[in-house]
Amino acid sequence: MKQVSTTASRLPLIGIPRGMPYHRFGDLWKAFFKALDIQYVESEPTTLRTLEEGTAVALDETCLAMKLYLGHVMNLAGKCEFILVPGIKSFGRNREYCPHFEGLYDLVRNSCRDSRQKLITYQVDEPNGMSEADAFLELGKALGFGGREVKKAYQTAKREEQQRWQKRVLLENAKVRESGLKVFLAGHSYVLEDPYVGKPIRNFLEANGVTVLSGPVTDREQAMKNSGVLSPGCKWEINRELLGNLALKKKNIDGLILISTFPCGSDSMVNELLTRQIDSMPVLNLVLDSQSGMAGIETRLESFVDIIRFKRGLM
Amino acid sequence: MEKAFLGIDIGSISTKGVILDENNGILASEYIWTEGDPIQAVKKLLGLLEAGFDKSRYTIVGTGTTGSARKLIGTMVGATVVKNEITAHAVGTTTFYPDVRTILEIGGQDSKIILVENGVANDYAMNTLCAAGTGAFLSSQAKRLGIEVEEIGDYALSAKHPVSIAARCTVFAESDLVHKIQTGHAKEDIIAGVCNAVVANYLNNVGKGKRIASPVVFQGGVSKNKGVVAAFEKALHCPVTVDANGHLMGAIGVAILARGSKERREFDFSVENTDFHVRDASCGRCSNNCEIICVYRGDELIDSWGNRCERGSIRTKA
Amino acid sequence: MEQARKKVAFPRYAEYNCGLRYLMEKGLDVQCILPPKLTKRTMELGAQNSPDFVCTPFKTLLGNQIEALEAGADTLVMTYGLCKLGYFGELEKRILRDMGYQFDFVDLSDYNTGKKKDMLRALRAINPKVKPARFFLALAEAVRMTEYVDEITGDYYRNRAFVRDKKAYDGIYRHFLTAMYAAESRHDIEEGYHKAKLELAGAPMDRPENPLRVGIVGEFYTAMDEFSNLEVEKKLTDLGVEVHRWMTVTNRMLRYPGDNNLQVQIKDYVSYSMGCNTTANSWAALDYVKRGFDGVIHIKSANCTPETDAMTVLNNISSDSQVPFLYLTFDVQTSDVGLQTRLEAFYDMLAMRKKVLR
Repeated sequence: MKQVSTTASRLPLIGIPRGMPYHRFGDLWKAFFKALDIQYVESEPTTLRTLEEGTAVALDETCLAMKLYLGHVMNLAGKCEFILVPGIKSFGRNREYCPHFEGLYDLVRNSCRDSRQKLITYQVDEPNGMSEADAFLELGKALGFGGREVKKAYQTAKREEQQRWQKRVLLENAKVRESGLKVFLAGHSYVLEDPYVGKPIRNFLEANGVTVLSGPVTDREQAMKNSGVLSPGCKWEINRELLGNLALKKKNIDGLILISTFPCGSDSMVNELLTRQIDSMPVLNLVLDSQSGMAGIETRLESFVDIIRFKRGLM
Repeated sequence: MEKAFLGIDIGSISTKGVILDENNGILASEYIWTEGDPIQAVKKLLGLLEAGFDKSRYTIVGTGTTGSARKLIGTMVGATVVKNEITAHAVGTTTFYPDVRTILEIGGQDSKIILVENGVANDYAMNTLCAAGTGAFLSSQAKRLGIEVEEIGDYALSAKHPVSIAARCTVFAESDLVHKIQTGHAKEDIIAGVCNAVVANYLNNVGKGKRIASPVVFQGGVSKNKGVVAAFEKALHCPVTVDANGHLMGAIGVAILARGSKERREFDFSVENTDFHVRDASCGRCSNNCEIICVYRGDELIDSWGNRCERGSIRTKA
Repeated sequence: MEQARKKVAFPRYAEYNCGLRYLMEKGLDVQCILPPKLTKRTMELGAQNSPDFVCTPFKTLLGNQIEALEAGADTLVMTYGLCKLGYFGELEKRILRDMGYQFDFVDLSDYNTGKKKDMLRALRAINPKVKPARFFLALAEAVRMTEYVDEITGDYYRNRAFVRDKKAYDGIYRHFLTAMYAAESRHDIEEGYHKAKLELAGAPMDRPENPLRVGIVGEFYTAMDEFSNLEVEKKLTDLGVEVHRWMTVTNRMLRYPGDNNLQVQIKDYVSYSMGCNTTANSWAALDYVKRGFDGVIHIKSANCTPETDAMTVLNNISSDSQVPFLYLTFDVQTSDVGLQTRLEAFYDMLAMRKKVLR
């Protein structure tokens, strides 16, 4: 095997946009780069500016999440040698991702081509023989590392990612035993965890004395096994995890809030099915677009919480 | 007798008419509200045009109609040319501004962009999704703020800290606006925000991916709004020309097209006094229930359209 | 005792239901209920009962399934697909059940594993006594019919602008479709095809030396279904345009060379498979541009995620090549008048450009 020198000085600086896949795979990327001693820089947390910069290059009809992602890319453009833009197609049958995740690399390439920023990628498509491990191997080799080194780094990173995740899940699952009102937030992690879009909703609920259960934070394997309870044929992995997590926790919650960004394709259908399946508790369906005010949303959240309190005789 | 050409542009909101001489000189022009009744509006328009026009010196030998009711009015006035408003605008504007590269247009319901190269339209786009960022949106927001549409410009220009408003969709924009009003922002800052939002929405929707080159000409009802013009100049970093006759450009364009066409038919102002009416017939031969529009002169059916298949086509006697 | 034959329905899918009917009746020995043609009522029924911001084809197909049940179908079959289509079946089933209908539902997505065993299971779900040999023979014939439908439809729209007698020409095409919907044998299919092929070729035409040529790309449902796209192709030929459409079942499913083989030809724009039909449409659009077409029209339904992605690529192809692209989005309420205006303006622009460029 070819020997590559890996002195930190000649390694490129990698940019990591904090949108869409970041909220699912970001820990893995960072651990992987750390293991290889590669420097990276993250885009600034989402603000109105991110949205504006993204909107300027995004197609008007595309979803809010995609606009934010492109905003994060633009935030990094010119500040690093490569920006990491993965393509996540599928981890197997009924473990698929939406077309934006699939085509992310070429979407960025076409949307941001005036910036002349260089990109680097890895493409996961298990049914066609490209596992995540293989994809990372190619990524590492493209950065000039040897196969053994990359494999080791990936394994270390994967272990670290899983440990962090297990800790989060443990804390999250403990909330089920808390007393008081418990509301389940069903939405993609890149919506719920975004400081500009989803975080304010969560903060508002918590400030109103509600315990918030985060839909995406769950033992993924267990959730996938249970997703069929609510929707046996769902093909999208992220939605299946939400469905499975909800099926496991639905007896312990007082209300369900569906949060999606306009016009999310998978949510438009899965949330419809979910509303038809769940009749035991109040459901609030929030569709977010680029509005910069929380006023309309706060009113709806407040009245929703009131409804639950009425139902439980707490008011 | 000298030759003259009549152009009529019948939109959903306003009806415009011009009479041109052979050198594109405007002999008469009028602008009135359509008020939901294109036939009455055109009769009124023709009356006004006739009053201000020297019939002893000119004969109208070609007539063009454009705008959403172009077909109906074309039948009614016996037009020699019936053209869509996008082409009409492009032709009118490039006649007066041969160097123009970009035509921005925001009307009551529609917004469009036309890119011009060498005096010929090269690319165009029209709003796809909804009415956010059009004239209808601006006037509803003005109403909400308790000011007249005509005042928007002055308010917007006096703003010091324009607020930011989401403009992609009317529903979202309105909830955003209500919130801004409630949180006590100054009226002029909100109005300037609305103007900026109209421009941002336009550039992100119809203007997406289009190379907007200067000179830029801005037309349509909204071009009368100084606030939006200023917002465009700021966003595009170039001067934006608004023609005093910009609102007439569709009518002018279709009059020029009538001049260019070979067909000649003398126009008779007596249509003002003829009874025209439209009846909607529902086909009913399948569950499409196509609405067939039948145009009558007195009791005589002179044209019909609107059926999706042959089953429902109503034939004129001619 | 032998059970009564199942009454199976598949919602309208452009003009492909003739092949599906043939396959169901000849290959699976079930009675095929052909749902009524799509109408305004179909759209209304679908929109009333569908989630708000799902893509339009979901609404159309759901509306047509309701009509199929009204027409007496007792079994609905739904296909799988690369996009949201792969989830249509499960949600449709639930909505129709909530509306109170009783029926069997065969969702091909449940069997979409790529394994022969699961394909047989799917067939048995439709008819437990299926004879595989007979099925595959009928499949080959249905595939042939589908290729013929695409070929004749292609001929029809390529030349319709120039024929002297449009009414007679339309008649040839309609008769061809009727023959395909009524075909009972391989012989019927071949005869209908050859008759139409000859008659279309024999129609008197005044073809200008250099007519405007427009290529159509877009969504796998809306670009192909003339009701959903308000007869875009017919409207264009009425204006005098030679219309080409690459997106057909033949090109996309039966003879598709694969994303990877097309990507090498568009590597300036696309490096990896972007999912669904994005690669296919980007390739087709660039191909039209390279072949000197005057314009390209992209057709999709409202809220179609993959075609929105494709537009990102098409925008760049258009701006690099300076060939005008027109983007049309169709939903339940798209107005015919608005479409006509856009098409006329597009036509005028292409015609004027052509004059200047030459």
